[in-house]
Amino acid sequence: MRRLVCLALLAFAAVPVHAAALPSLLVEDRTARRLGLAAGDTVDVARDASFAGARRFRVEGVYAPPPDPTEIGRAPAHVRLHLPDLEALTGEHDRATRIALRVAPGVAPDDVAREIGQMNLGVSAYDAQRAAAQSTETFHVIDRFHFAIGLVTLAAGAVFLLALMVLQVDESRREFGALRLIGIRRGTLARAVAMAALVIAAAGCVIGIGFAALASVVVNHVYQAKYQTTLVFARVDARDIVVTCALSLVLGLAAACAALWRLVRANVLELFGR
Amino acid sequence: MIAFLAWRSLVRSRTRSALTILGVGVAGALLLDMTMLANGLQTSLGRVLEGMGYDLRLTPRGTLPFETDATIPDSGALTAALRRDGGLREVARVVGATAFVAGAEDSHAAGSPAFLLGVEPAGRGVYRDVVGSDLPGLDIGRARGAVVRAAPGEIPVLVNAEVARQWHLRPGDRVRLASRPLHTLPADRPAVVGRVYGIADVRLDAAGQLTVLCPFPDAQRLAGFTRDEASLLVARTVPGVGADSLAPAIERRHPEISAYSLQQLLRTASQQLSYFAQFALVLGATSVVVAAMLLGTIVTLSVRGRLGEIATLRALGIAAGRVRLLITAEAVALTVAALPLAFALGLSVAQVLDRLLKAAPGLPADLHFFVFTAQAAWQTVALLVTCSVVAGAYPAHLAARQPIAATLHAEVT
Repeated sequence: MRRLVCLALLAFAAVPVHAAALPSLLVEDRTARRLGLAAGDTVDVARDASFAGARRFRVEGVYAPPPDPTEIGRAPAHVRLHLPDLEALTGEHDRATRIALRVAPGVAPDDVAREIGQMNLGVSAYDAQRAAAQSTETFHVIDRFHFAIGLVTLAAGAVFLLALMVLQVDESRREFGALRLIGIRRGTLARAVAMAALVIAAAGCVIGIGFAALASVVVNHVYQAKYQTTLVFARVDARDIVVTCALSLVLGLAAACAALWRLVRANVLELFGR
Repeated sequence: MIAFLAWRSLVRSRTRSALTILGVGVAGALLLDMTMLANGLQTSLGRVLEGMGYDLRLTPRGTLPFETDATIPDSGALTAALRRDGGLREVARVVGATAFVAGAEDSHAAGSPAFLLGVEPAGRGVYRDVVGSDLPGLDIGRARGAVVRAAPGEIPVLVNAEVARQWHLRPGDRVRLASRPLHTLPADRPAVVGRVYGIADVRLDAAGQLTVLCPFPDAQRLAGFTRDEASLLVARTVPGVGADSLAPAIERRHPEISAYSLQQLLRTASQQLSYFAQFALVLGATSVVVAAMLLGTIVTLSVRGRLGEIATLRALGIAAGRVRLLITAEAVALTVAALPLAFALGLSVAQVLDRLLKAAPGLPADLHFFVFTAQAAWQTVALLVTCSVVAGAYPAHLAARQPIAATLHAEVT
């Protein structure tokens, strides 16, 4: 019912009326901007686009609800009416789409939800956590999708790193051969290469995190302006940084080991191409 | 000769070439997935809507089909007016509402909420194959199975496979229907009894969704509509009349409704799905950059390792332009060699990603996010080849401008 009225057409009425005598409503801030409404204006509200049975209301004020990610990309209009006014407008009485309860201190909400469910009232009862989990399921799906894309992107980066390390080590074969001839042991050479790989991975990690932070700022700026919302679309937090650093170092080390595999096993003459 | 020299350079260092092909393949797979995602949902939705066979959809003003509880009042008068206006050869009204359904034997059950679809004979495109009998007046020979008839006081219904599974229903069984939980019905207003005529495959049903279809007037009664409301009108145009031009004309004559041709509906829906298109653009650009960096780096290292060879070719009379062409051909050859891997990997990963996204609640089972089209394939090939040409430009320039004598001298000393 609320959604029905949310999408009812609003008409800005310039006819001077005694506004104080009219019933009042609140308009959501984005709706007010779109329709050019402000407190004190009058609007006609109807249950369908024929405007049959339309009623005139006074805009009491403009409210700013918390941003709703499910409305990104859509632009529904929202208004809030007193319940009796909505019932009179829609002709539907004694109906509600949801009822919110506040439990007494010390009472567990999920116990109350369970009891209500057992009462056979024809309603489903959810505590706040379960309701939030159900309504955010779509975003969990998108979260898993992002994670999968991240893995694919990581694979591309890992192959890139491996290719570079193999080339780098391959080009240094003669140099390694010379070092082996003067007595430097394989283990020492391997640790040197591994250390170089870790330094490259760490440097890449720092640059990558910096680039990601900058990209987040740009993404948030662009999309907050585009969708007129304060939602945060991209964010680099401590967990992301820790995971990124750990993955970079592990992949760097793995790339170095893969590159060193043939080099460390070869004898000195093979390193010189003999 | 260019092809021969390029081939020779690639096979001389198999490890380097293999790693480059692997890296470009993975980046190419990601690029293919993003080109598929960019238009996938729109393409998929378009195919399903085209399959329904309607050219126009008419909804309450400012809404999309079944987006809200808003209805079109006096739908019969509107339908008659639309037929008189011309341009349409078939108009059907559809009701979409929530109803509670339960098996006929369980008289104490509350029932489960289901999507109730009420259709007129011309609205038969909303569902496909029927096991059993079709609804009266909608039978176009697609039903297969025994003929079912409703007893007096019963209404004919079709159920989808999920309803049939949950209550173990077969054609000929009965269900109880109401607009509210069945156990809350007053004694003087019992549930409506529906005779299951058949089990239908309903288009755009979400996974796990319960759907019941019945004739339009019965659905209006069940939904409690008292002003001859309809949720949606679907229409076919007469041959030669374009739906794209007819839709605005209908909206001007009937301002209480919105009219959408197939293309207009897809454009409006794509605005709500713009997140995926933009995500695909950003990630697609990233994969192109990664592929370009990999190719550029590998080819540059390769050129630096054989400057002497290149200088020798120049000394033998091969022009700088042909040297540039040779280096660029190597980059393009690596990319072309990576294409089979990119497509194989991209299509496999797309299936996994598609399954992930389709797990979103309320999404029609018929829709796909990743749709492989010829356009997506050609876009991927074109972007990768262009990227390889661009990536090869710097090392090609490097190779072509090396001083011949100084380079040869450095090689031998």
